[in-house]
Amino acid sequence: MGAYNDSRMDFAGLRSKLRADQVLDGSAAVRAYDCDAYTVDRSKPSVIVLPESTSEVATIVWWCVSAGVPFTCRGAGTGLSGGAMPALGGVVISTKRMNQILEIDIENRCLRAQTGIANRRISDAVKADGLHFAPDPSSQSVSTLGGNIGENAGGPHTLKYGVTVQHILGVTMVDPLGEVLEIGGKLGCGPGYDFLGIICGSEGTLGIVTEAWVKLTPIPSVIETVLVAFPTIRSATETVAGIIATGTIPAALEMMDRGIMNAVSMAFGLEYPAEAQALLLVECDGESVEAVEAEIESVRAVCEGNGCLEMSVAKDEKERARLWMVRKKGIGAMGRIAPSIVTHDGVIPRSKLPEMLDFVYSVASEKNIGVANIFHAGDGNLHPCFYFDDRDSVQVEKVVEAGEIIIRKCIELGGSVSGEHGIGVEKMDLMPLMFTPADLEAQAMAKRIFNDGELCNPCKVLPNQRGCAEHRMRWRGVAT
Amino acid sequence: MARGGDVSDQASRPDKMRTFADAMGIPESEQRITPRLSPESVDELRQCVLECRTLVTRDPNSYRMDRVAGSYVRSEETGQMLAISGPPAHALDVEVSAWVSLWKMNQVIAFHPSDQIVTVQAGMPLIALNEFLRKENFEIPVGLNDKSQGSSVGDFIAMNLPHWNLAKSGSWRDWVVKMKIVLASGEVIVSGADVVKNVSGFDLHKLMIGARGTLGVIAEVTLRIRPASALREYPPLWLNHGELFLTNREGLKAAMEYIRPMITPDEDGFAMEYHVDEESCLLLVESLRNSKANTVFDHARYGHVWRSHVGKFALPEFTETQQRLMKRTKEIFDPTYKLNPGEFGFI
Amino acid sequence: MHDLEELTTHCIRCGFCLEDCPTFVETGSELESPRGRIYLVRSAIEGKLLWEDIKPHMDLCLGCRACETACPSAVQYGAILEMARDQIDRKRPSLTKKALLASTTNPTLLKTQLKAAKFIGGKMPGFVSRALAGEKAEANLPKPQINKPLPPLITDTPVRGEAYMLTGCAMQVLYPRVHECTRRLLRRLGYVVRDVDQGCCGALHAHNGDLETARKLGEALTEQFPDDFPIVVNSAGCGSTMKEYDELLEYLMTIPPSGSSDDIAKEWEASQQHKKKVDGFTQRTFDLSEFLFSHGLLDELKNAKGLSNKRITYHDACHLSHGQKITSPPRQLIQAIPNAQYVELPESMMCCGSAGVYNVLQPKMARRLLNRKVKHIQETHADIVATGNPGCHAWIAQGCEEQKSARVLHTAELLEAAFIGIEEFI
Repeated sequence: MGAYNDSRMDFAGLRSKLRADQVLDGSAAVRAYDCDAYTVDRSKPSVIVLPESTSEVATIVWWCVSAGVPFTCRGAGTGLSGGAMPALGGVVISTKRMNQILEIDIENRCLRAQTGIANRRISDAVKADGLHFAPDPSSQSVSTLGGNIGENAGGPHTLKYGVTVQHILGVTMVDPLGEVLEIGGKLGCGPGYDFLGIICGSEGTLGIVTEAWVKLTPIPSVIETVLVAFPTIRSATETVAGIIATGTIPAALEMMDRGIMNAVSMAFGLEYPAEAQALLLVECDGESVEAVEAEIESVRAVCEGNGCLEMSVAKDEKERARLWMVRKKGIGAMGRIAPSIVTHDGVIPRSKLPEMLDFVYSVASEKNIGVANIFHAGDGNLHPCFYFDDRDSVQVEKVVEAGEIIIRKCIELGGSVSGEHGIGVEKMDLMPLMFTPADLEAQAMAKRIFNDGELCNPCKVLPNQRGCAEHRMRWRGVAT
Repeated sequence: MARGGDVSDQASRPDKMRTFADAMGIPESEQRITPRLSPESVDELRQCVLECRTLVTRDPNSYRMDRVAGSYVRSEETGQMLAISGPPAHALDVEVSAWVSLWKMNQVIAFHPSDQIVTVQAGMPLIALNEFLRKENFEIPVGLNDKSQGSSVGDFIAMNLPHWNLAKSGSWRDWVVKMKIVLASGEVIVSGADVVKNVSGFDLHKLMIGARGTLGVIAEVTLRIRPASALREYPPLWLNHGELFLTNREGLKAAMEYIRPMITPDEDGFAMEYHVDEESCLLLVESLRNSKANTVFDHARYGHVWRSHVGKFALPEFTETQQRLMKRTKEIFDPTYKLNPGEFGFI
Repeated sequence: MHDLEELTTHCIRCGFCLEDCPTFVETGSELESPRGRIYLVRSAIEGKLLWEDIKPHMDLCLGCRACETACPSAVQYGAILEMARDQIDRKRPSLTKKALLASTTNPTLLKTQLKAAKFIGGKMPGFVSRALAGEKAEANLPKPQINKPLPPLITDTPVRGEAYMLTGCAMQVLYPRVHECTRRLLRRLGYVVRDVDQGCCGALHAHNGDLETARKLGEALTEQFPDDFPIVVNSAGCGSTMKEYDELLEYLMTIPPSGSSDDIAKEWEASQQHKKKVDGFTQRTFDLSEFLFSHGLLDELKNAKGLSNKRITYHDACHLSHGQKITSPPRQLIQAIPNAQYVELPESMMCCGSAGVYNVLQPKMARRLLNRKVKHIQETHADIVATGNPGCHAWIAQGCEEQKSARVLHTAELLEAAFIGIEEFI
């Protein structure tokens, strides 16, 4: 972005369109907004705005476009790939004041909300009606609907209920030129091109989704959750492959290794047999006790066939909630072990799990860095979590290297660089490992449908964008 | 079905086309009519796309849903769209330099039962794929319908045909994980990966689903599969010929009230297509228009959201935004309007 | 300094604290979130920001510590906040704030002020509020409770032992009846309160970053409770600080004292001495609800006459639920009151905005949070809101009175009312 230089920029025009309390600037503010939950790369915005409606967002975007200022949308800032980092500075548009539920239609099982609302609050609003919003990323208590749409967020229950895109019926968005678009609606996307499919997961590069119609899913009437302990990593990974092969589709199938087990037993007092090296968290749900029991039995058979140590069924709702709290806060608990973590997000075909995990441990020991694994085993979605001290540049370097080796292996096995965290700035350089230049050019064509400029969340997702390369060192430089 | 099978003469074809038809071994006598090209590999398909000025990739024997292209039925009370109905419609008749059938690209390329993934060439008939899977004790619970399974997998996906199992199993979007696509430029690209969950980059393959072959030609598809279950076949309700697709639960509720006296639906009510004769159709449309239906409807039983079955009258029926974005998309992916002209009203 | 930096490194920026932070929920600003503040503190330590740059954001923090409950990494936010405020105060002490703390925590001064308030109309004079907060005052100066004598206590429980009760500073002036109820409830379980001369616990000073004064007050308090009796505290904010005296000392010992080397040696010696005393002290400090619950009040309540036709809800005082992790004992006790109907308060664990002297220092934010709290209380249609902290008590009572909503009682009052009837408290 040759034209944009924030030191010369006057934001008075932008300020005049908003109330004073909707604009944040100053050294502390720009510092606080220089990264999301991915901290390796950082870049400061010039100003942060907190719009309260779609039309305010449109006004802001329109101003940015006419002034040639880059802008980046941000929800809760819980993204793990740097998607909300203002790569070229400029304006950060925070959706956090757009957190209202606008319409609830219990009869047609859908709901319209502003996208700054936290995922969990949607489910809370319709809980009494026996419904919920199915996507449940671990960050659901805080991450926003807009962020979930942007990253096409997954979560443990993706296995059975699908990722965010499957639960979005329509969106209201402000396109990169400041125009308000309505795509899909209460009845879902009609005929024609599936724009919703491409907006979900576009990481805020195609515009700013300000409102969305979401599908509500009945809460299953019977839910059983079991925690299974295994003596070795292999026995656990082979159990995962085994369960998938039986055709049982559990609602969730999650795995934790010893590294995470240590952290969560410290944090939440989770108990397991002393000799256990891995835990599987399996949930089955359905409409009848018999059907769910049958699923649990088939899971039990596979677990026992692989020599599990112990299989404990959650006795009640409270115990179940506790197991899930442990799972969802598992990565967060790693802060007890080290000051910094980097969590990767590769996906592999599920049958390759045993091989892949062995590989992860060997890379970690070769590089002499710590690794813990807590992940969506049923989807083949790994989350190797390297823990280190980000004040030590040697360690940072090693962690970055190890991550790349692991992602390369994922692709080699036919997998993908990211299952649910997104590309952001973190994995941009890894995209060419997975796609040919022609593939990437075709993706760039898709991006052009909405975004033909260089202002809306620049330098994200696609590598080799014009004017981005020279900024990369600066992002890293701010961090170290 | 008007397109493809019955081929009209074409007076003028570019010379390039003639050379290409020669190369494909089409006898001189048949070159007078629109050539039918049957590439056997992705590379040959790419050649077809490169050489032709315009081409149609739809299978003439496809199960079609064109006939519901007509008008929307809206509730008088709320203005809400309840259903879509209308006369049979086809793609516009436009000059086409070649008809490309992928019927020779009909092989299973890779089958990974332990990962529950299968990769097939797009020309494979769905019925053949299902037979193959059934032997291996797997299934793909999308688009099971007796009269439809003769169509190729590629066609099914390009048309994104709705099916009775939509509420339970989702649409094609939920089962396609990777695609090899030949773009109008002749570029062969891949989108997605052999995994069930993936957010790497922009999901081009989703854009192709339901695009009716207007943005690119689907060459290969990787699908999620699942172990065969005791899936019940829920036949659609048939009442002669008119077809009516209901768009939401409110419309369905009203329709059900209307239909019920005439026919007993399947006990589980999973039938998603209610075919009614023309006269009944008109009556039904009337009853829907006057509908004040507002009662709770059982999603698990009747949850069907109408998706993407449209023909030549489609484009004007879209919202202005959708039209504009679609035109823009078409301009970017197929600036010469080469692929499947006529579909969506693109000429 | 090292320790504060160490504490901040435990935050891995997952953001799980955000939706539990009242100021973030209200403003949507990262600057007013726990994660943001920790990042700011860390940046100030690293020299990337000035302490005065981050001061407004540290000031707006309620110190409710809801983030600690949400945090999977067990970041000690409360400690970070207090230390950061201490750092900021060392750079530029706020004299008006010091004066406010001094007057609030000195019973004699407070009484005089409250008498004066009668003449000036209930709220703090405008010029005082502006000096403190730069904004218009929102909080009414609290009116001391009318201490109507309660009927004689009738119990057949034999005396089992003695206990100390923290009478505190503001509490004894404003809520003498809560103390009275505490004594009665303890006696019902067989404990007699040993009255001793005692001062302030230093909680308000600690929460506002004056750790040195807090330590001195704490030191004095440990000496005033010498015998090995349980110390029962009916003010959540005080209890929380008293349970953390040891951590406070540890932190202060990391800051090099100023003065001659003799002074340093003396101070070091003194703090070592003090540390020994503190160890036992924190172990025997209990919140009232915790103590009542574990010493059998549930059984006693079975014989109480109860509160018929009363709908009761419970607001978690932050320093009880987040600071001391006590949420279940008070609820179980209230639910055990015969004939009463308990209803859960939405967002019960979100701060009401009182937060010690916060409603005086940050009136606007405090008012927004109070309105949010009262709205939720109205949704429950409760007759009575119980809570375990004097700050919340006064502030929510003000809000409820304005909206003609529920009556606020201290948990101790509510439980005592279950025995002697609610009429005594209206």
